Amino acid sequence: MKARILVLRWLTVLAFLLVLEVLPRAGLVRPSTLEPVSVILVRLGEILFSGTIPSPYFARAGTPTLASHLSATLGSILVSYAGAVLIGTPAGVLLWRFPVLARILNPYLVVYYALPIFALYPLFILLFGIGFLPIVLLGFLFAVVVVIVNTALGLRRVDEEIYPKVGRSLGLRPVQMYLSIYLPGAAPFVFSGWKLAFVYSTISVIASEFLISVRGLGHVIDRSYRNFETANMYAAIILVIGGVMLANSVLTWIERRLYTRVE
Amino acid sequence: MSRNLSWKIRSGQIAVVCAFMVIWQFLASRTGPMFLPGPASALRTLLDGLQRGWMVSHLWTTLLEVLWGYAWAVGVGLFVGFSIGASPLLFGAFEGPLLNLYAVPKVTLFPLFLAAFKLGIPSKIAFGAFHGLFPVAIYTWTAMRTMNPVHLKVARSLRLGRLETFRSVVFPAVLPGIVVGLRLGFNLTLLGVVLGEMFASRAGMGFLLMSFGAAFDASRILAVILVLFMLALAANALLLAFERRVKGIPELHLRVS
Amino acid sequence: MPIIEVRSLSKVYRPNTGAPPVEALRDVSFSVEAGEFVAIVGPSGCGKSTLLEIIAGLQSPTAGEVVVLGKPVQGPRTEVGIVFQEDSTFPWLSTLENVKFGLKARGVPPAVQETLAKEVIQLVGLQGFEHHYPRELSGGMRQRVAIARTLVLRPQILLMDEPFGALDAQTRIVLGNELLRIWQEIQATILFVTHDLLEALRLADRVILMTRRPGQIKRIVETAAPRPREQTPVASAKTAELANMLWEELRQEVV
Repeated sequence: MKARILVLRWLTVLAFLLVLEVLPRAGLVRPSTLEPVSVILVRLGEILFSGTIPSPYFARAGTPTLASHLSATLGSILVSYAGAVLIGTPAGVLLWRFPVLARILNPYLVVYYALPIFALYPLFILLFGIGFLPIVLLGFLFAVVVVIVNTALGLRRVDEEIYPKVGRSLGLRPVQMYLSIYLPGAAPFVFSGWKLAFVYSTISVIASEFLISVRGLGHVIDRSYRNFETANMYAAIILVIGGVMLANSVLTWIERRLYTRVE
Repeated sequence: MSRNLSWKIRSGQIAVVCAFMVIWQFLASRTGPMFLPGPASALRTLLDGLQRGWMVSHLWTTLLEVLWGYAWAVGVGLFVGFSIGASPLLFGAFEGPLLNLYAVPKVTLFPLFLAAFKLGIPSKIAFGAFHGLFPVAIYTWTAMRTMNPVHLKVARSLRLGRLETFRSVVFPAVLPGIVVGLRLGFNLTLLGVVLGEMFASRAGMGFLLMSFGAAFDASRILAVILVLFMLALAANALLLAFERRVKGIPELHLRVS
Repeated sequence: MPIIEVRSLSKVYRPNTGAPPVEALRDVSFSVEAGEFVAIVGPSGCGKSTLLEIIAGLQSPTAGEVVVLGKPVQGPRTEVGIVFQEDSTFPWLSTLENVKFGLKARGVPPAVQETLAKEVIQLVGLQGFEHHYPRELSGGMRQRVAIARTLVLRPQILLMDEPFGALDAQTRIVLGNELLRIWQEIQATILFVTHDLLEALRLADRVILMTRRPGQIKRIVETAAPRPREQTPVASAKTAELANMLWEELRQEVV
């Protein structure tokens, strides 16, 4: 079974790559639409190795280096993500400590992710100008609520278990209750919130850059698309998707380990 | 819930909305109507857009794209979800990769959709569906895999056929999980459609957002945002009511991911 | 002077959901002497656990009071330890860390923690499993960890709320034997809640029979079998006779 699963998974990936290679080579798709995978990978290697994007557009714009875009994207993700974690986690604790507050806010939290928050982006640009601030603000708004909700849920789950009762029967002081019962008990759920916050802030930052910005990996994809630099565009797409998948796999691995600790 | 407490909660919920309005009004009066119009002014612009019609055709375009996108998201999502949920082989091979794909910024792939479907409505439908099918599929296969296996044994011991087993055992068992996926799927379909329109289109609410943004018309941007948010809330009210009915519970728990 | 005195205890739950109040205990009085092993038996939902948690100071009564070691109970006390029915081991701690948990909370020096914990682990027969996590242990072993975590604090009174309730019949008997051996070794007073009449008769000096909700004391009997006792699946003739007699009373309470 194990072997068949791996064979099926990698055969599918391979077949997918093969189709992407053959379609443009056979002339079924124009190279302005899709370059062969091998060409894209070589281009990605060039960009990574030389640190510059081979494009007259970015040379003229004064941002030819990969580092200038990578630092913009990572900076925006980091700031919006840190904000979401640092504000969302204490807010989740408050929501758990005050159940009436939680019940008041519950319907709003349930529908929060129903709203296409992204529609706010043009308004933010009007208010703050094109650049770092609107992107970070939107990333924060995308990520903060999942942290709040998961923190509150995780702590509430500990309350449903017997552990707080054990703690009280052993005469733990409030600080000890928090540190040695609630913290380890809620850790995996809180971490799930942090993981999703990373995913959401990344999605938001890349999408913002993609729509309106002057720097960042999303911006590179957008400009390459509009300037018909197909190989650059796909190289950037692979860089973004590969990077996020790698980060997500690492976070998922940590998350699984945390869950096995409480089950 | 005692009457006293539920009254407290209701009034608290109304207070939250009032506080939101007050803050909005305050920020609007600080920044000036050029940048951030107040709630009343935004509502006036919204009504103007519906009366004079500069919003109506775009709203129809978006609705059309969302409905078609959602139909595809549900169809493909259920098919993928049931296939993966029913086969340990498919689950083993594709669960991880699909969860990983769900986490990537799908917006970067929009150029591919443009290449495949051209600039018009079909590319938005496809992009919306591509966003929405993930939660539908994931919640479906999760519901199938967390089904109580003894129910399946009962079905086998009663010698039910495949179709009958599905109709009377599998489907009712997985329905509560699926309806959550259906709601989240709608939300992402709407997001995908609006994103697609914002990136490249000549019609739709996302297109309006970007054009009014370029024209520095804050009050019309806000009007479009309001309509989109109301559309999302109305659809969610419907889907939540459906969810509540299926699950038979009075109050829904937080669940956002 | 008795070590535990329960005086006219009543408990009424008033749920804040608007549902009607539930009377869990009504006018319960009894006392336990130091060194005794007393079992409380009653049908499900008769308030046995509530009673135990009030004695432990985890809940407060609606009326009446509990006096432990001459002082009224107002909250959890160091002289009283409690073992729960559910698996209450912390899954994120190893056996040794679980056992040391209460010592650490009380600020016992690490070296002393280690010695005391190792002693108790020996006592409950968990040597060799010090560094295992609960998920690597069987249900019976996890309950031993929970018992050890309570015993290591040297409580004079050990409250046990159906501690073997979630275990299979064989494990229950084995652990029952172990419990008697430990009880003799540590010289503590044990108040043991169970819904299993035979288990109560096999283990205890006295058995308190409770009615269904609202829980009241129906009868208190002495088992008076000689100590030390060896636990076996089939009770002795005398115990069986007592059990049959008590069963007649108990079955009226089991609807």
